[in-house]
Amino acid sequence: MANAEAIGLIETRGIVAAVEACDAALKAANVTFVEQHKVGSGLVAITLRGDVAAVRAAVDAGAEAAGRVGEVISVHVIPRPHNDVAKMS
Amino acid sequence: MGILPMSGTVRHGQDARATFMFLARVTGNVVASQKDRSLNGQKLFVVEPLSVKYDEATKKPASLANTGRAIVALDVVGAGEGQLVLVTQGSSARMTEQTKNLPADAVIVGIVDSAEYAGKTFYRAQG
Repeated sequence: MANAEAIGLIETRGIVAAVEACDAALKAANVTFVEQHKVGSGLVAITLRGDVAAVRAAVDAGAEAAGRVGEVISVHVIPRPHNDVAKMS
Repeated sequence: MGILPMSGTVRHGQDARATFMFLARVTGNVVASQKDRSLNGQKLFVVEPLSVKYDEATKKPASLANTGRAIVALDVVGAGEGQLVLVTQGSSARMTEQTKNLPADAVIVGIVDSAEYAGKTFYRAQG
């Protein structure tokens, strides 16, 4: 069973870049913020949810914006995540 | 189109040949999966140019009025939906740091805090 909505992930070094990524991503397309993970060693990952296209656009815009103020570690979009992926949070 | 008619409305950015910096309201966003690679990571917004509404009695600008028009503008300042923004068009649109080599015709270059004309503040951002 796969979830109908896509999820997008942006991982940055530091909170500032993560917040900037989140702001740009949420403004860029119709996506919702799901959660943030403090990975450790200064790494912060944010998760977004929405349509595949919207999530792609949001993650691109978020990564671009975060890259201007800090460091983006990695970016990923899962178009149809398995329901159990949500259990990770 | 005159520069500032004594009554009626001024429609900023109405004439396709003339390009002005104009005030607009961000009304929505555009998501395009297939687009030129240079536009990846750019925020595309739908903005509605606003006109200045004149008070018939005093012949002075009274408020900002909707025009019902919609244009797509690139965002370089981190604007969001619902905000009043400053949009620049034409060759100037490609003079920002972020849009130097982009196929951009209209760019949001500012977020408006307040706007005043002839001593009257007709817009003030909330909060």
